[in-house]
Amino acid sequence: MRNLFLVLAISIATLSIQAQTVRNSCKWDDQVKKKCKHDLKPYHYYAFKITKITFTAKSQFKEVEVPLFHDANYRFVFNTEGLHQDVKIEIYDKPASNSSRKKIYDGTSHERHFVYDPPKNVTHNRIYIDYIIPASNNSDASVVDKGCVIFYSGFKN
Amino acid sequence: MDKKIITALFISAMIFSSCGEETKQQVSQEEQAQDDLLNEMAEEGEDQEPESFYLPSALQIGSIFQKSGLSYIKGLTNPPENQEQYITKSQKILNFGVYSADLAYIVLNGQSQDATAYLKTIKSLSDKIGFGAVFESEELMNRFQNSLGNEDSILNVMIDIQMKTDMFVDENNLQDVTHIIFAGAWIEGMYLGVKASNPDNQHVISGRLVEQMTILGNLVKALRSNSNQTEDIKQLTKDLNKLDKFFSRLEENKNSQNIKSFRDYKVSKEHLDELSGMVISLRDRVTKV
Repeated sequence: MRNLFLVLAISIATLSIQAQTVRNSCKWDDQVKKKCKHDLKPYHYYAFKITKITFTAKSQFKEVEVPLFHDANYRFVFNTEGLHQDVKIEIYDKPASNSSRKKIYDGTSHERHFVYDPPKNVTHNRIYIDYIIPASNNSDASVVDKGCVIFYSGFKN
Repeated sequence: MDKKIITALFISAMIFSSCGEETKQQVSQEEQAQDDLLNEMAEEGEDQEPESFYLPSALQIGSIFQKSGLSYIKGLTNPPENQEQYITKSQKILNFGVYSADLAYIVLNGQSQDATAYLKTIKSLSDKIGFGAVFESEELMNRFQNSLGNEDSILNVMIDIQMKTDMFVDENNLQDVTHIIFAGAWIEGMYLGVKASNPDNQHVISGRLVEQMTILGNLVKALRSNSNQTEDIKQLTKDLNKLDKFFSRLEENKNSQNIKSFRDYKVSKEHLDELSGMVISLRDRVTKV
């Protein structure tokens, strides 16, 4: 009988823990949109991409390929306010599968909101943004932490 | 959600089965099962984002061609009245993209007298494909109307439309639809590039056409990521893939990754003609009424 109560209590606890598991910090509200739009000037809007991140027990890697056109200038606005844990942001001229690739930019999401204008001489017809996501630093195993990086871009011919 | 409940029941069953064991062991098993569940949920989250690339807008493609001296030829674009005859949803979505590229071509070439008819066509199709919310704002339509004749202002309105569309797509998880729209816009952009070039700008335009070909692989990948493709979109994906394979096999472009300017893209006249023929044939099928 005592065991049965114990099992029931653990089962209820397990179910209640599951009900409060996901903590999503992803932020793409009007304030962030306004900031991104403002910082893109004088470039014309090109495209945006929200990279969603789920922090897990293991570190992860995500790569976003961005096509570029020759003779155009680009501006990249990154907003990482939607992350409660820092990720590394690196930009390369070639994909991760290419061992001869060159790093163009190296930073962390610690900056929260920043602008990067890739120099023309290092960009060809595409670039690769790598997000290096560390293992979750959340010691509470009952909570899954989610967040996102906003990549907002513009061009000028 | 069902999966989570099943997993939770599984956890409970595991706990029940270990009734006679020490409490410490029960807690340890529970923690392990929770870890598994949390990892599984995390993986489910990743599945919602299958693509790791993005596609440019019809407006930028149009702008690239226009800056390269692509001339305006009246009558090349898909006539607005054709939109009434697109019956299937795939036709409507594809031609929404076609008309978007046409509008960019018209506006960037200062042909404001035709722009309103094309915007109305796009608005009408947007209602039919579930994108009506993007164009419902009276203010946006008025701004467009008031900007006609002023290239910078109208370009800004079109950029706002593009941004609103992208945000609408993101908020409503309509990436599969937007890939089809882009396919229509890309085909039309290439078609206009092929048809509107002339002997004076042909070298520059052909460089731009080849440059556009480098994003085709991503477009094919994007279309293929939709497991619920209709038969006509499946066929279109195959045709685009055939075009991409043709381009990849060209000896002239083996090192296109290292090219520093679009002017450096080399393609023989014979290959350019073949490429142009494939583009025209694709465009004719997409816009056929």
